[in-house]
Amino acid sequence: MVETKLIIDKLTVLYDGIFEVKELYKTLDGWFKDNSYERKERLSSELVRESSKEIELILEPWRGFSDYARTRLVVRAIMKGVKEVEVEKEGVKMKMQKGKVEIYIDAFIDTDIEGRWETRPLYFFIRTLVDKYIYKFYSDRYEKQVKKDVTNLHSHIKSFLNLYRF
Amino acid sequence: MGKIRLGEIRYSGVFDWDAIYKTTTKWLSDRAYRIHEKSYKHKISGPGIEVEWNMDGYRRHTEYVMFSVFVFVHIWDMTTVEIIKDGKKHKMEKGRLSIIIDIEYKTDYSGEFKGPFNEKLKNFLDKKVLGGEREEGFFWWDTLYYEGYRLFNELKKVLNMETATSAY
Repeated sequence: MVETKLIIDKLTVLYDGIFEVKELYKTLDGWFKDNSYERKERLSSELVRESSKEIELILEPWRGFSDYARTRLVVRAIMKGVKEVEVEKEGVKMKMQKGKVEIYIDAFIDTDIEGRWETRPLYFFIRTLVDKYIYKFYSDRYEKQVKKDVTNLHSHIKSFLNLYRF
Repeated sequence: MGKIRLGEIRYSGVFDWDAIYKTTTKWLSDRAYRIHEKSYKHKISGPGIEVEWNMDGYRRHTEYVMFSVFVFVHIWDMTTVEIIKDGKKHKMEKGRLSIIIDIEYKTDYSGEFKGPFNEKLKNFLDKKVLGGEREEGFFWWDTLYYEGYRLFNELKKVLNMETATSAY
């Protein structure tokens, strides 16, 4: 079984206004691809009502640091009351959407991905000591990288949503 | 390697069940997968119809590796509705559905490595020569993984979902 450590817990982006669901999804997906994350889409849910839509996405992209450790992000995007609206900008009419967006980002580091160091109690003990004292340099480096990635993603999403504030 | 769940699509609204069925079977057969319709259950349940559909696709990717794609569709409260699109009437379905796609790859699918010595040889080949899951991924896993996600996107397009796009 993989050993999981929570690095970032529910980093939130809240937005209420005009945006485009397709472009928001492309932004997220594009960021993951540009930052060498492997795609993993756990859930893509859409509830179509008469006047609005409710959309929920759970994305779990991951990136391997080595054969021992990898980072995994859990991005949960909930879009409520999404309606089609027509917006005029600089004399040009555009079809967009309006609604509430809540994005929650969690980040984890998974170690011992292949489960080689848990087959015996002695191996588990050695692994714990190595992780805590000898491998600390690498663990700290991975944590810094994960925090940097998540901060970058958070800013990227906020900048994207701010483009629609006009 | 065991089955991996790629993801789940959940949708509630108006959809074309015929298009979902045809898209899945066509997509698999166009990519040389042998299709096996494992089960199709259709029953009257509550206000509508409940459908459960299991479709498996198998492809011999190489002489040593076989790819499998498992599609499971479950629909609840399905009723037939008539909609007007582009001035024409179309019969479609309305209800709630869930589509789950799993993938798997299997080495030595023809069972050539029989016997205790050959099994050890196969394990050595899979884990040391081919390098374990990471290296196998380099050769085969990525192909199957991202192919599965293309099917995922195609089904989202059929449902006209907002997130029917991908950067990969």
